[in-house]
Amino acid sequence: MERDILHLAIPAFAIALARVSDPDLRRRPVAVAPGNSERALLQCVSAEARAEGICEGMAVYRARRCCPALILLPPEPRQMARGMRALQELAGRFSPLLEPAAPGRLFLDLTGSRRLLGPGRDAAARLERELGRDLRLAGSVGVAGNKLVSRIAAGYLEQPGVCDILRGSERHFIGPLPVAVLPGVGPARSRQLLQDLNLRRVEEVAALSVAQLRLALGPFAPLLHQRACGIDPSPVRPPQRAPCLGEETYLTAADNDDSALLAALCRLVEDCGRRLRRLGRQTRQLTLTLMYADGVTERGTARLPLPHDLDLPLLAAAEELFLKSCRRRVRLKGLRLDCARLESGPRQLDLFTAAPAAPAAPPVAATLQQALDRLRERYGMGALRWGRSLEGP
Amino acid sequence: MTDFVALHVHSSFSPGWGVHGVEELCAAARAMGLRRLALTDRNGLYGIPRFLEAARAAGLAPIIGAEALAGEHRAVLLARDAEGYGNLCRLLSELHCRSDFDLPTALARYRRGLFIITDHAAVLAPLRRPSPEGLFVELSPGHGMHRALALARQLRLPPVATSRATLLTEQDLDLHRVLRAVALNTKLSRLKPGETATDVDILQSPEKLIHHFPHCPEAMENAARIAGQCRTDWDFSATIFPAFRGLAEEEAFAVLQRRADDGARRRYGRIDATVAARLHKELAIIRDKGFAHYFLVVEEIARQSPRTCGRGSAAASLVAYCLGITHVDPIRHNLFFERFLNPGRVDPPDIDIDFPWDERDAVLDFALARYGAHRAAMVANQVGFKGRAALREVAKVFGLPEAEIRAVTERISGYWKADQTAGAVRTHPLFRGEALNEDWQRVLHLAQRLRGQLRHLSLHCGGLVVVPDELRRYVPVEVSAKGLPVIQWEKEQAEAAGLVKIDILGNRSLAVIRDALEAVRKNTGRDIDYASWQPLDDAATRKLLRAGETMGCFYIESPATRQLLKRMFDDEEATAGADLFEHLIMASSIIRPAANTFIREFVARMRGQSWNCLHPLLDEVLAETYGIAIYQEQITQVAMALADFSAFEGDQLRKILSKKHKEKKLADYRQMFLAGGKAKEIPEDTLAEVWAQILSFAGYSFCKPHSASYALVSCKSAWLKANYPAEFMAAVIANGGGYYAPFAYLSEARRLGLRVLPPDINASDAPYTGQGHNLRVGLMQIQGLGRQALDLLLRTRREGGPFVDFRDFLRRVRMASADVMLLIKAGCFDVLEGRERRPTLLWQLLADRHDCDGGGLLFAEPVAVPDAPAYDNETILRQERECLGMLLSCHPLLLHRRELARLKPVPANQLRQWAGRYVTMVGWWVTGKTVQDKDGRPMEFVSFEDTTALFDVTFFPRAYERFCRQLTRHRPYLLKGKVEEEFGVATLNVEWVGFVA
Repeated sequence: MERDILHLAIPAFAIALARVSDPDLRRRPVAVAPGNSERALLQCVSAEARAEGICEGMAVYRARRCCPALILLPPEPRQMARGMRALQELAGRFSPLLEPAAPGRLFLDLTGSRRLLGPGRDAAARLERELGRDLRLAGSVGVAGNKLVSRIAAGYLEQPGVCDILRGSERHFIGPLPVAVLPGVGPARSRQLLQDLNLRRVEEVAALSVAQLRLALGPFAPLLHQRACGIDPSPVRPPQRAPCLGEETYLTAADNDDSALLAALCRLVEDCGRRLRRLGRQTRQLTLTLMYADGVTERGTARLPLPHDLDLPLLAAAEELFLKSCRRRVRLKGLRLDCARLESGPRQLDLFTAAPAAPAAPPVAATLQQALDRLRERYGMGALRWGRSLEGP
Repeated sequence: MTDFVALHVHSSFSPGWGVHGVEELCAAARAMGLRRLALTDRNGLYGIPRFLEAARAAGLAPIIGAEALAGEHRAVLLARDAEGYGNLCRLLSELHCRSDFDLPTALARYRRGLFIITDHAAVLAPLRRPSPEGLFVELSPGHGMHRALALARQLRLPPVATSRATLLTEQDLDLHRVLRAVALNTKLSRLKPGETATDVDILQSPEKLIHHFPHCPEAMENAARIAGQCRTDWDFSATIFPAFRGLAEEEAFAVLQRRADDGARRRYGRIDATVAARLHKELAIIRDKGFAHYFLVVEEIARQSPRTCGRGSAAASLVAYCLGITHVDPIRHNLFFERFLNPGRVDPPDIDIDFPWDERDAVLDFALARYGAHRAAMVANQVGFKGRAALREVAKVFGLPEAEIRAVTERISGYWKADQTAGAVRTHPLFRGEALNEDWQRVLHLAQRLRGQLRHLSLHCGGLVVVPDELRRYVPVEVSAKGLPVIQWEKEQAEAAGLVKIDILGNRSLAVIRDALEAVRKNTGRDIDYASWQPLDDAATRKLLRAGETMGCFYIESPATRQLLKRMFDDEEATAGADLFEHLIMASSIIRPAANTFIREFVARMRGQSWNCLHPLLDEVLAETYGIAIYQEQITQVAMALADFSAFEGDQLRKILSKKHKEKKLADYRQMFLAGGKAKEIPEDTLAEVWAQILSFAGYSFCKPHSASYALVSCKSAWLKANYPAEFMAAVIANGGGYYAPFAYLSEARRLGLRVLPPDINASDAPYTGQGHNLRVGLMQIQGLGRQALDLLLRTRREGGPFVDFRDFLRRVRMASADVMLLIKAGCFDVLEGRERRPTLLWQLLADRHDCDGGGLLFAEPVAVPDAPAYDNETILRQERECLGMLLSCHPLLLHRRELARLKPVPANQLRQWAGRYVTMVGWWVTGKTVQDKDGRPMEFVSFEDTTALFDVTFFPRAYERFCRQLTRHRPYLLKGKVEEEFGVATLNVEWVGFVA
């Protein structure tokens, strides 16, 4: 059956979202950079800024010199997450088969819905329209017979719109494009191998045999050859729900003082613990992600011998994990704590006791925790905190 | 109570621990009323000679000690007498050199003559058993005093009070903690309590300290008792000479005399009366002073290479010339032996020898093998913090990201001190428009307090110390990262302690001369005898030197020196009679320290301007240098003539000027100079002017013999450049060049009319090679090509002959694919296969490697190599830049032909014709030097080149301030400004900078 795969791409998603809430940012050069340092690196750049010679990875002070009118925004992870959820909701109206690819990008499989939604390009046009109407976002939509070509098609347009590739002509469409459009051809592969071998366009790669390509690319050759021919059999996979929960925090100012970092970690543990207890689950594995100011991200994992859901034992384990994982001197800008391998707590009821009767007294720690939770339910998280979650003077 | 003595004190010579310099500590101790002070730096005697000097200057009696810290054990050790000092040195040497060092065991062996003070039971208990003598238990506030007191009672040992002084005030703790974090490579919040000093580890006055010992007053008294028994009249002034082959003094002198006579006959053919008299005079002083051993040791080392350059004042010695240590004839060039050795001189002579840079390690190995590690070791460099390192390290402790740190530090000169850096960041135009945030303010505040704090030792570039008996008696010895033994003192302190240093230095130009001479011999059969070579007899060489076309020539190739030579000899008539060699000596001396005004005056006088000395008394002293003090020894002579200094005092003044720590003594000498002059009724303003001239040379001037030695090497380089430019330029680049990058030398070669040939798989050697009019790029230029691969290639080619084609190469040389790829992209196979086949060769290589690695299946057909299209021109140039690090096939400015035709810039070789006018020029950056004008504002001299010539450009402070942030080395510049001409040399004063698109 002929497949109809849509790829929705919203360029510079973080900036597009910011422009929704602040229309003043439209048609002006905008970039996203973390922290307030002059030397922070740009994460996301608007088309207007790009036209001024600014690109992702450039330092703020250099970007400002290239484009004095540049507006800088801090990263807003929460806004990004909300925006992505809204995008999925909108796309979900068309098909349940959707796969988020990256921030501001998702695949949608409309195969077999032609009688319901009309041809793929019509659905794409509708999707684009609704995106503008409901979310006030502008994006381009690529429509093709597979994920690979629909993605390339979405990136092909310079303006927002729909790019529909005739089924069967995928190879001819991507043939004249530079090899860098193919997934798996990053800067390193492109520069070191393909430029040296003078392979500049996709059709030149497609013209080689797999055996020849294998000489240069080894085991990656069959896949790249397939891609160069515009073939991609991979299905659109809706995200799998992993049984874990996590919390993250960004510090107000990047810091390398352990007391401040441990305070932030304690707040994360409190939040995670509270969510665990609400779900009635306990965790056996903590994963701590450290986001350094220089862009490096490190991860450490600790397996707990016993499952826990109370703040204090979780905190002890998290602190130990932190001291083990955080070996660099560079400041941290954010921390993320994930609890995995969730288990249901002991909920076995006493067989011979009448249900409403008082259960056996829980241990003191659990009682204390319950009391804390009740207070926090009523008066908010800030009403009562562990002392170590507060930053020192 | 004033008898109390602080017995445990750390100075900034405690690596990664101490905060204050010995001078500050001594001053503070004196202000507290202490009369004695011990210095106990951690695991070393790194600052003892300086401490002795500082303590005496402050009126304190110095006690020598150290805190030994090894594993779990710790003890403060104080030298009671000379034997104790020797044992302390030996113990500390073992601590650094032996991996199985154990403090209690070592103390049992070396405890004689030492006081041992510690609160570690594991150290005291085993020592207590044989004898309690010299053992004390350390009681310090804040360090478990009750436990220590209990230990004292249990072992029945006397307690002694210390304050473990690291800080002078509580505010020093911040800096100390930063130092610890730097040393331990951690951050402040991870420092454990035992890893830093506490806020009570302060140098305390006896009155304050006694409040901590109400229960144990005898601890304070014991401190005074120990100090009373320690020697304080240390005298390190005796010179310790090496001994030559175990000869007695008389035997050594006889050998020296014989060798000097032989050498004189070799050098002069026969010994005439002048030579004989001079030899006799020198030998007499050498004999009186007992320096014969020293000369023989140096001669033996110098003989390890046929091409050396004995530098420093030793070049004034005829004995050194006859022994082949130096190569300038001191009689012919009127060099005074007294500058090197005189009867009044008390400190040891100093002979430095340059060897070709690639032979230096072998010479050092020879010397260390000859005398053994127990008698010889290298001199150390004590590495502290300079401006850039201080800022970088403190910023790292505060967790600032690398990119952010680099963005600040790359604008800081490596020569600035820490406190200069802090000032520069606030005022320097490179930092204009950037408000430093609070974090950086704090980093700067701490970094500017990092000055002399010792971090670690490194090897001095060539200083070797040899003693007649056991080195570890005199100074603790460590092992360097290279595995060489190294003493704990740098050269000033080693000299202050009487150790004689022989400098064995590497010199690239000697290797250049060696390689060029060898190439000339190979190419033309002409063999030049290095010892009798007289380069200035050659007219072409003289012309080249007078024209300042000396790029590539040793020591006189910098833009400033080339300009100076041009200015000096531009007027051929006026300077025709000038002795070229003498003037080269002056040029290479004056260029180093002097301010521009002196140089201008010097050139004007040389070209005939009338002049008078500042005072008639100076006429005789300064006659040969046009009334301007140029040489170091002239400082001595000026002081003698004007202020009646004795030869010894004058020499001391000269030495102080060239030393690092001079502020205080210099003031004394200034007073002495002014008073001496006044007594001779010399006007005060003349004296002040002369003193200012003397000071302008501080620390940088050369003595004439040294400059003469250098000038001789310069002349030899110039001879080679004038007569065999291809061989010479090839040798210059092959030896890593000097002042310029290889690209600049290649441009110079083109200007000399040489053809620069690309690397070739059959024709190129590893180094650059030159013959006739051709300069062939060596395979060493290919960036990233492994040494092993290169050796393999050359061996295969030598054994099996040239390669026929690429297949032949692949068949014969089993090299890593990455290396072959580099050879292809560098164009090494272009001659065999043609440039257009480069991508096809890469495919061939891949196919070949695939087959060899067993990638092909047994019955699979071999993969057909695709016929790839040729690279476009842009790709070829990119590959050239990537593989060779520069553009070789053409000058980068030629890539902008169209734009240049539109701009119509003035060609550099016509610059002089445009003097006094405003012009537009196009240039490629060659080299630059940032300096400060007389008001301390930064400015820069930059050399550019276009396709016709080099030209020099001045960014005066205003232009520098405006454009310094744009200066880069990778783009063609568009420069607008006014052409200035002075003494026949035209330079461009820039007023506007842009870039060619």
